Amino acid sequence: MKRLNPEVTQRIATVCLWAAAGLALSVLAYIIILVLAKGLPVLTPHFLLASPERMGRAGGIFPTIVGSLALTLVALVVATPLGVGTAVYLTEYTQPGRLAAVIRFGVDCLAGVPSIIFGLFGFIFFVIRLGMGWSVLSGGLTLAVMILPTIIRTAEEAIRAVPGSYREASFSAGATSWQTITRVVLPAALPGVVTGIVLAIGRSIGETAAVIFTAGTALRLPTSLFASSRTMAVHFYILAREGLSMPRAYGTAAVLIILILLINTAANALMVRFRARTQ
Amino acid sequence: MPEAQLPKLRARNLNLYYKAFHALSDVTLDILPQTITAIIGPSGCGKSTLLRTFNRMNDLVPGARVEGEVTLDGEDIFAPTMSLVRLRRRVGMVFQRPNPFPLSVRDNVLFGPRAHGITPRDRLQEILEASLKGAGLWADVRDRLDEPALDLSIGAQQQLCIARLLAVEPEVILLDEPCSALDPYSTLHIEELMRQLSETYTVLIVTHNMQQAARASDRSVFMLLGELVEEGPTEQVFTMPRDERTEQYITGRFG
Repeated sequence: MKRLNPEVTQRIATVCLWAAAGLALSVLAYIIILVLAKGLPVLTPHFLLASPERMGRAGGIFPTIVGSLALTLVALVVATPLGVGTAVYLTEYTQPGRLAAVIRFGVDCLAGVPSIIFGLFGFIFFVIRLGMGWSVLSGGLTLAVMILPTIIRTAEEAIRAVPGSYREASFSAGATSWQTITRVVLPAALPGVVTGIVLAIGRSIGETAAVIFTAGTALRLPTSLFASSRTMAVHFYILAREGLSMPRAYGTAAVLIILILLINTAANALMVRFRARTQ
Repeated sequence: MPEAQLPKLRARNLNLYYKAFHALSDVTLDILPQTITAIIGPSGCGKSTLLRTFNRMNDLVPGARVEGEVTLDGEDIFAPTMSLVRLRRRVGMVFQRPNPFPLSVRDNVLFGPRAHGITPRDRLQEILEASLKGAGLWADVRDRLDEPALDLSIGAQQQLCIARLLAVEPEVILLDEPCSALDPYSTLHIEELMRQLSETYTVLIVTHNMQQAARASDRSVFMLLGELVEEGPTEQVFTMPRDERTEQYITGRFG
């Protein structure tokens, strides 16, 4: 068989890579355009700021926006210190060995568990066993467990990528391990850690299966951590599934997507400012 | 003998293993204060390992094991009562590649003092200025103190690392091939700086540049395969080596 001319191979490869990237991006663009096209017509200040009426057939979605943000916030407040702490432990305090490998394997398994299983776990453990009921707290904690692997692994990679020479410099200036971690390693790893947190926000704010059994589906504005609350994703699911109002379902989805875009943009801007300050 | 001639660092029958690899064998050596001691030898002879033993930087290497004794002013550095933080404050290190933190010039120099809990603003300013002057960098960076350290030239970055070290007021300065990433002009600069530093500090430098050892050190240590072959005044080691292997190495017959 005659071998292909390397330049021809190169051209074919370029075309294939372009096609792959183009296809992936156009699917993404199509989804966003579809949701926005169907959702934007119902997007009014009233839709954003009013409470739902008649099970969501009319009125707005304000309580579900608050619910989504509250659950995500609880999840982050719990999972960020735990996750970053675990990552620091894995990278700075363990020698590469069996214990670290076991923890890492466990984390990877956890990352592959479908979210409905987390929902079931949260229902059995937080809602029933710990008696928290359907609440912002139960839902937030369930999400925290779900996003923990993402935060641990991204933070771990980011910390591992910090040059060893920074640690050596810090130690040779007589800093302790703790000072080295908090003043040198974590600031240097921050962009990567924040990327993980942003991914985690994306996962939790759009999550449905894990929260429908744990935060419940109440349409009232949640006023405490122990109140049941419906998130935007759950609201969308119920509106669409029960055939209550497809335009309002798409409106909810559009708000959700715009919110995620805003959060990602804000996180990016924050990182750019942080880098400008340190480098 | 005057008191100043008491050895600052003293190694006795020092052996170091990386797992099964015997990296230092039976090293016995005195390092005099206010002197520049150069450690020379071919790659892999254990010269950096020896240097990194003096501030226990090898502790960071998994599987490293030490036998024998090293004392700093007569105090055993491997004693359980020896605090690593205190040891490394007294014995500071400059590395092969300049490794400033991705922070401003100021924050780099003040990293050590802040880590040791010094907070008064004017005291920090004094340290900043004194350390940068000590490293010969003050005139160049006095107007750029808040600029990123990584924007400095590579030679200036190495000087900054020296300033960062001076800021913690060490007694011994370990330099691990500090000029190997620098151009000849910056190298000369660092060598002049070493000469000034040796008036106050005990300076140890690992180098595989023999001209550097010959022109910039007071005493030289020649190592081969983890063994200390010869130690003495630099002039004697380079002109009348006692050991045949030293002579072969410095005349360029191997290495």
